[in-house]
Amino acid sequence: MKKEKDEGLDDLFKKGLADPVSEAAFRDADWDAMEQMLDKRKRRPAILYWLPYLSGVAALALLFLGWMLFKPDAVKVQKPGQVAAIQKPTPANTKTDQQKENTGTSGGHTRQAADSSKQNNPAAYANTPGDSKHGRNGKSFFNTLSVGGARRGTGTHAADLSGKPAVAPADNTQQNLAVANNTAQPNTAVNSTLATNAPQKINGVDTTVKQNVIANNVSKVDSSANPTVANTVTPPTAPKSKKPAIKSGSSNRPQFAFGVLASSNLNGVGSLQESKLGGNFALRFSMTLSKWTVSTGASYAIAPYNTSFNNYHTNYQFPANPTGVSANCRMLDIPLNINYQVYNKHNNKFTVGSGLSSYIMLREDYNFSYAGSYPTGPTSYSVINKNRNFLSIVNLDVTYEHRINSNVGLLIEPYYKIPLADVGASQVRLQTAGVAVGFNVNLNSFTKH
Amino acid sequence: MGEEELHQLIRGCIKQERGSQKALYKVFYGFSMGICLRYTGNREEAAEVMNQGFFKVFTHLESYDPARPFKAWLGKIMMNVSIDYYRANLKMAYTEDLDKAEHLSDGDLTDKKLNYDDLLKMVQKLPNAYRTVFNLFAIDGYSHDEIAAMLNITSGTSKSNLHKARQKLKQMILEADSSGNNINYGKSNGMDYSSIVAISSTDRQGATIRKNI
Repeated sequence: MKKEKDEGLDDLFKKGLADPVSEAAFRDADWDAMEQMLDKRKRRPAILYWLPYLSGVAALALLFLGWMLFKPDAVKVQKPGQVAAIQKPTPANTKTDQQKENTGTSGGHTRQAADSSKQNNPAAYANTPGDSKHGRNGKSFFNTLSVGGARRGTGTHAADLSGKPAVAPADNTQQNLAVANNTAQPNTAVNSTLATNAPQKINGVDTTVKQNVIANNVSKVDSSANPTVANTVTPPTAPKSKKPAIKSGSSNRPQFAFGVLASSNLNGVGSLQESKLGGNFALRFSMTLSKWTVSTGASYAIAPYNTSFNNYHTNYQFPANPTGVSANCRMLDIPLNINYQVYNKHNNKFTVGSGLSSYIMLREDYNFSYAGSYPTGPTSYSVINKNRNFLSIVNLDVTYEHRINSNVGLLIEPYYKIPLADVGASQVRLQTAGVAVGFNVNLNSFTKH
Repeated sequence: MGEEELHQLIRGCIKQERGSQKALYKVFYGFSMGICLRYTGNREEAAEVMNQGFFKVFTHLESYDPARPFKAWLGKIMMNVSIDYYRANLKMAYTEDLDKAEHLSDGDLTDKKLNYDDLLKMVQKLPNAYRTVFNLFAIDGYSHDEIAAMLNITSGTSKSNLHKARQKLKQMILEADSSGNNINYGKSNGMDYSSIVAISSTDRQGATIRKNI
């Protein structure tokens, strides 16, 4: 009986509503709104839909590309006694007869260097008059010379052996000389002994030592403006043992790292006074070059918060306004940050950084509370995968990293997120502060051969 | 304008011709609005939902199978966007004291003389969750299991919401009956109906189309 009554009620509405006597009249305002939607779609290319995904892929691709680009060349392992010279080819220093001529003028040193390697040895040329014609001709080159033995190493500068300065002619410009000197005994004088002579006139040319550096493995002589250079290298002792040398240009090589972090945080609207505890789990990819680190990644964040209904924005007309809103948001946070290293000693490193985050709201649950004990309106509201806020949150962080070993570092990172725009369906200014803890793994270690 | 003319309009819409889009919009405005009004609380909401529906139509018209009735396809889209709107807004109906409705005498409700506007206003006065379930079950003919799947609720919740919706509607009908059957209170709420759908030639053509499909 009751079922029949219900069916009667249903039929009443079904028949009554199925065939409206008078349909709703067309309103131009509705079409105008429709046109706006269509125009908006025209202006907005389809690629914008994929923008958050594309930007993530692009960021990763960029970092990977940078990694590949700055990845060091094949690591050079020199056998003892082997001299390798890498230089830009110039007509002068590629000629065999030129070598012979130089050998004749520079004495034992050049001959020795030439003997030690069949390759050209511009290090010798740089300090010999015969080589000066390169400079006169405006040619420049960069040489890397690796000398296996201490004795041969000293032989790269014939004048050094004799204790007399070797002088390059007057306009020997733009010469950069790098000598990679690898000996079994780093303490031998060949690596470190350097005498810089005062400017002196030889053959009527005023010579000035502008810069003369011989470091552990690399020696650079820059005689860009004035003729060079007098080096005095104390003859070293003979090496007791010989080890292969690994040449690395780590100073200019970017470090790539992959990080995993988890954090608990406080979330609040407008301020953190009425904050609730949330958390997130983040994967991070970073590139460090010198003191700067650029990082990106993604974190899954749970951000609950309480706020007054005054901060809650909606087009929905509540029958009676709630007094408070309790929200729980789950979102993807895609940051793009840059950090600057302010301290780095004893395996401890501090960086300060900033950047922008994009929020992709996965789920937003809102619960409404009312003044009375009895709800006088909707009690909850859920939005799923609808709202996105691109680059609208400022990240501020301080990162402490303690290197556990050469590959792994412990991270502790206090951070603060300040919204530049209203976020989510409720359009609130959601602030977040927390501390992330995690690990950083150096990816460069996997590239060594 | 017959079926061929409708398909011509559709082809124009696929080419993103604004004139064709407007003509199609005007032709099916009343039909679409009728569906959206049932699922929403007022005309403004209905217009918003309807436009979202037409937006889907204009952007997915390539997927329409011309062998099937366009009106049915359009109606299904309007219903789906109405459900999407429901999902995107309040999912849970607020609890109301329905004790009074429970004790109402059923009476002979089918004898009541209620017109379209009266019934529509009653449905619109229902809370969102009740209204959606009532529409899907009583008017559009879906089962509780189907409704549960569509609204991401349990079948029990669907039954419960339907029951509450019916009780509220009965209450409204009886209240309307006691106040002299004068429950046409829609005009103050922005409801504006005309017996003439449109005056342009396009709309006259549209009226023909509606009869044909």
